[in-house]
Amino acid sequence: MFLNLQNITKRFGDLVAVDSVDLNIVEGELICFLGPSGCGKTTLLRMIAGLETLDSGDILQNGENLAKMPERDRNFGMVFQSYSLFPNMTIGKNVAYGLECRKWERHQIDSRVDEMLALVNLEDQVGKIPSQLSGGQQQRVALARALAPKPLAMLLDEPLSALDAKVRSALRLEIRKLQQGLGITTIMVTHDQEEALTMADRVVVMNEGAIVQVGSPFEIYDDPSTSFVADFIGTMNFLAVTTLDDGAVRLGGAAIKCGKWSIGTGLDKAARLAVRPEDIRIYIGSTPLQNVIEVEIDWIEFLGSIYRLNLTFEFDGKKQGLKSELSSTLMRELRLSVGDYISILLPEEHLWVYSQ
Amino acid sequence: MALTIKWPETVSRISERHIKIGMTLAAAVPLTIFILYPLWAILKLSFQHTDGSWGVDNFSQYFSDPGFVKIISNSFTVSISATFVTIILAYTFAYAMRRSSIPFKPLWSFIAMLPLFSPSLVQALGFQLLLGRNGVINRTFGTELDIYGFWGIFLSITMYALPHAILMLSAALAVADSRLYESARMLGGSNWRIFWTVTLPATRYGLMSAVFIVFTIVITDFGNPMVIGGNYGVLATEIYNQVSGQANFNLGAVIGIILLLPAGIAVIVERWVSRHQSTAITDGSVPLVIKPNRLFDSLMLAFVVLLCSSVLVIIGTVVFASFVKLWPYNMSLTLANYDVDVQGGYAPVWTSIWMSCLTAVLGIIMVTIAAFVIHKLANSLTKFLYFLSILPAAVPGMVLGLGYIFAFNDPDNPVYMIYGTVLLLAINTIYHYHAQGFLIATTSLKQISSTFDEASAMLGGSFLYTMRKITLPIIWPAMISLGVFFFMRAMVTLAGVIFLVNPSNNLAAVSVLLLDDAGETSQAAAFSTIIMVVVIGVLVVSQGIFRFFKVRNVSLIS
Repeated sequence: MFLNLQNITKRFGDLVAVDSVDLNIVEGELICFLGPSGCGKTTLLRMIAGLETLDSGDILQNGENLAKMPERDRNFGMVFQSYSLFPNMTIGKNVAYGLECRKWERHQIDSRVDEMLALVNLEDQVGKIPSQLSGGQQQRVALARALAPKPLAMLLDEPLSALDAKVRSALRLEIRKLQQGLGITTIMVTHDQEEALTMADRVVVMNEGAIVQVGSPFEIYDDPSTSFVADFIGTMNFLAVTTLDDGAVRLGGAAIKCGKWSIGTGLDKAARLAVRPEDIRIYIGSTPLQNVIEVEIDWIEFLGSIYRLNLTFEFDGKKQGLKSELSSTLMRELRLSVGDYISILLPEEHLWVYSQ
Repeated sequence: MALTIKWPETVSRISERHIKIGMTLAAAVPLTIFILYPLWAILKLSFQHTDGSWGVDNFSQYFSDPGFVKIISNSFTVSISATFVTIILAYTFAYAMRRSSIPFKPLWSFIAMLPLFSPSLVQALGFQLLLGRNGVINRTFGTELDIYGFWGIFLSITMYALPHAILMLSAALAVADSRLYESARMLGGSNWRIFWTVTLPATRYGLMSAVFIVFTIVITDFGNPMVIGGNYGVLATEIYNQVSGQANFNLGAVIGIILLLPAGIAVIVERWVSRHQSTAITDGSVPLVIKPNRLFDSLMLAFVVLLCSSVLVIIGTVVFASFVKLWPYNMSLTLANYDVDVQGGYAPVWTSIWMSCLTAVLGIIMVTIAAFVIHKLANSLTKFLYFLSILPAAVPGMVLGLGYIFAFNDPDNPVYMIYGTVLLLAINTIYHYHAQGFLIATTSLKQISSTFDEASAMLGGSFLYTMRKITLPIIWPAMISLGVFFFMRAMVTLAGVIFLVNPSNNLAAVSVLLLDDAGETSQAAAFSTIIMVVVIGVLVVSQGIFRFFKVRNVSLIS
């Protein structure tokens, strides 16, 4: 265990920014704090960095308590969203800064700066000043600067948010490769689920100051423990249902068998049925089948390789809608258009039931 | 093991805490002594009777005297008129600079700024030389124009306040979102309608701020009414007469409090207004591109030339008069006026330059410490320190100067050691202009993103190391411009120091007043010219330094 966060709490006035968080961080992993803005992820990272004080709790690093240690003695490398390169120094000077603070020998500093800039493919930019570089280049310098003093861990605070989409996906890959190459424990904060899913070994989903779920990217997508996670990660349809006996719910007039329950079974409880758009299948056969309902096509969106269908159905005067995704090839075969009535199959193994 | 590494950490933590406490004290103590205490002293004295008892008699005596009431009404009449006209002229001028495509904009801006570079009475001196009893107009045409009184004060303080208003309104008009103007045009708005519905609302906060700042400047101005006010008494001259003429300190304190009220209210309203001034421009804004428009540009150019000519005529008259044998009777040129033989000769000029250098250096240190402590070390004291830092904006120079007499002209007070010295004059000037200097310093500190501190700390840099390697190298140009600001104000200030000078350390700006009072108008003009040359010289040199070090985005005039 590399870092051990125990019962960490932080308040700003009346607001509880981080509420009794426990978390273990494993040596060498890239762990990602993911959540909507204001969920406390950045505050938690800043407390690990030492930039915020803890109201209560402990941060143990290999058994030593960091809670009272000043940030500069923790030896963590940090990369900020705003790059934060010192504008009065050249790229080389920026990378050398942490080494000068540690009073390295001149020749050691020079060779380390060369080494780090080569690592991020910027060796030819050493004499430039930050404002002469693009955003992506600046952030790579910031990475080199953070890694130069051989930190114990790397802390990334929304490192890609200020960059445009193309640079972002390129740098995403670069950071991940760098991190795996060096085997350095890395904690990254992001509000971008795509970033978290593609880069992280483990994702920590946070909401309102607390951890909601911890797991691999696949786990949190495939098996969200709460409706918050289900809604926050990827796209999810939610339908109002009432519970029936033996693992089924009543949706409109039909009984639907559901595979995954996060609430206890019971009769006639209001609940939410969740299903991802890509799991909804078109049913062409004519024999009635379990988990098949009839819906109307309300709208069709063409998105290139796929189509998105907005489907609606009405029961007892209440209208509900859900989205589904179909491949373009299938759409061509089926020749669907707005206003058509179709049957869809909701596969039991991909249906979750959450409390209201 | 744990113990051996804990020790140095603890030591560095404690010393850093001490540095921060030390800096907080370094900001708090001078602010308390040199702003709060003098104001307290003046407040106390205004409620103290000549026999030593306490009460409101001073105030009731003042307000029951019709002469005094007349002075209050004079003050407001002339200040409101001058504010109104200044704002209209300044807005039009700033609009021409920012929203028209007239040629030679830097030249016009420089000319309009000229009144900033001279003592506040120079405008009055110019009007006096042109339109006074012995002015060139009356003498040449045999007319009996009487400039002394309302019109003299009105004209000279309008010209004096103009550059201040132009600076503020230019800033308000500098930023505009092109998209708004394009939508307005697409919707069929006429230029006039677009001005009323887009431009004016976008600048309304800047406009309101300018109104209150200008009002404060004109109601507290002392130099111009002294020279050209004649029998038209205003509060600023009245306070001088009570204190310097009749040694009636209690009444002086009362007028000080009365003068503090309108200026204080104006500043409070201005603060409130400027807090609402934000986010008109967002990331998505597109800068407005000015398109030439022949008719509009010609009108604007005509206005700008007219305004600049007026300023040049008045200031030029003073400069010209300084080279003339006997204005306006013998207009042959001479350097004799520069051979000043009264009021200590050139000594006041050297004293002024020395005092200004001292003000610049100490001002940079004191104000930067205050801005740093308030901006970066948020603690329970800093809200109050912020209040003290911007309080001087509401305190007229004469009131602060009077407060210094009451507070420090007392052998029991430790500050008495420097009473009557150039050092106290410099300190008085720093705290008189503390609010503006503080805002300049705060603006430059805000440029240093707080993540620089954090990035440095994460890389292992200590507080002092960060200051030396990051903070200071980034803010030095702003500190130079802060120094230039203090130097300029110290060279031309009159109101703040008028009660504190004495024959052994007289200042150039005060000499101008005394020379003019003694009828030595030409020598007064010569002294004014010297002051302007020194101030413009310092500006040119500083600009040269900035050019050399390729510093941009730092303005020397604020």
